[in-house]
Amino acid sequence: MRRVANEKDLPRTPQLIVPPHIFAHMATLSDAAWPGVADRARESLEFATELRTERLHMRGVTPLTTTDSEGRLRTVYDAEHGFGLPGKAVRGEGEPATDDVSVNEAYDALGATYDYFFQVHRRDSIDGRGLPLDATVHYRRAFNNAFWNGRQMVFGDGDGEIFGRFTQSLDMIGHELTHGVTQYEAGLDYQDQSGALNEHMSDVYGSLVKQYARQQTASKADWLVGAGLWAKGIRGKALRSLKAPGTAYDDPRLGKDPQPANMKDYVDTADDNGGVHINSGIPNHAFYLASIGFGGKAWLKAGKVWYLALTQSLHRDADFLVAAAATVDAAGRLFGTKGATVVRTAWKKVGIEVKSSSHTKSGTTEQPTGRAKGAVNRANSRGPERRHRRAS
Amino acid sequence: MRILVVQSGGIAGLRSEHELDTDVLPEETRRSLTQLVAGVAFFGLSPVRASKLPDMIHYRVRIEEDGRAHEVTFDDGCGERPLLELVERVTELARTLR
Repeated sequence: MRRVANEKDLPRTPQLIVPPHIFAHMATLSDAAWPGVADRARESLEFATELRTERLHMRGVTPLTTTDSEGRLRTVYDAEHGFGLPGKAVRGEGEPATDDVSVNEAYDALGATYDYFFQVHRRDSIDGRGLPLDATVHYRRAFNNAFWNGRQMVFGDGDGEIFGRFTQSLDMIGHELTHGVTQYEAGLDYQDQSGALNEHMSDVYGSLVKQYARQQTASKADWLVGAGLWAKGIRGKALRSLKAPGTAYDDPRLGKDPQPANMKDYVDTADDNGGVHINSGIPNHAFYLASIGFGGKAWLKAGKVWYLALTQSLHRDADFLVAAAATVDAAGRLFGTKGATVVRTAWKKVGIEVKSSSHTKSGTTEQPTGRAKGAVNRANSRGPERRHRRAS
Repeated sequence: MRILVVQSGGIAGLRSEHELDTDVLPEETRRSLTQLVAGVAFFGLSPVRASKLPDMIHYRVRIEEDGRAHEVTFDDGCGERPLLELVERVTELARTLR
């Protein structure tokens, strides 16, 4: 098993950590040489089986986690182009690949996302308690979207004019499942800045799921979300870019990627729940800058800092300034003053200043008393007119 | 009858509009669409509903008929299947007529 980087990343409930193959070996030992060991090992194996069965029905009990992919429990369903959810079960955990590429892509991406959260953050599934991962493909006809509905993933096939099938983007599936994580943690309200932070967290961990699967460093990663989703003929490389917000697409039918990278360009709009998919570009870019500032693989430092903030500091109506302070504080806790400086500098570059204060490994010192240009005074807003053109 | 469907949101945050004048439709298509509108009792629906779930496509549907007009907003998470079927049908027809 991988070791955790910091005890703060450990799950909040105890876990059993002896791998089953060790219990299996112990169960074969001679009772004469090792009195009682074999019996206790067999009891442990039986207990483990019972626990895994019951976890689906028990809140507050963390499932047995023994290997880096032990808790995965995936089921992919087929809506057969209808509205009914979840639809017909077509592939369960451990079952072989089917002839349907959407089914297999969804299955693999659910696994990759589970692995990322479990192996990097020791989080057992979306809720941290082994929630089975369900996904439905072929939802409705020419449906141009994918979403987490609070219980499961849902994928459309795309209309072939704007979007292709939504299962082909690993980072987008990681994005959607992270909405589930946020739902169980900070519960960020899906409106205005808290909504943009909700989107931001999904973009961050969607990108990290992909980077982790590819074992890429921050400097090598593409930092794109939704690469490959656009249908043939659309002028764009992805839906969003954390590295360069506002540059992911520029197409006559769609308009230009409207994401800002700095608070001075914050977009004040009533559409899209207050521009949650637009203004997320600002914290997205801060995360990118922090990742580059730390260097190496982004999930090892910046990813852990943001995860600590998401799971232990942020609340449902947090705004950008609160998020900035929370991540600077988390960086101080995990990586000391130097870490806090990296994160504070990243936020400053996107127009959000968190006042400097001392950091200790064990204490929290940051307060959201800085400045977020544009967060209060929206004089720089470009308004609702800065929306996309007609998509069809 | 004139039907306007405006979609926004979704994972890409895109916006699109589809407008349909049922007078230009073949008789049978017009009749089935009229039945869909009547089936959801559109003119009696409350104007706003929202699930607040992330990445949902939001719909604004406006229908004008016989001098009256009504507008309803909802999203994919609201569980309004008959309305979603109406949106899908209008979108499909509007695309065909482009």
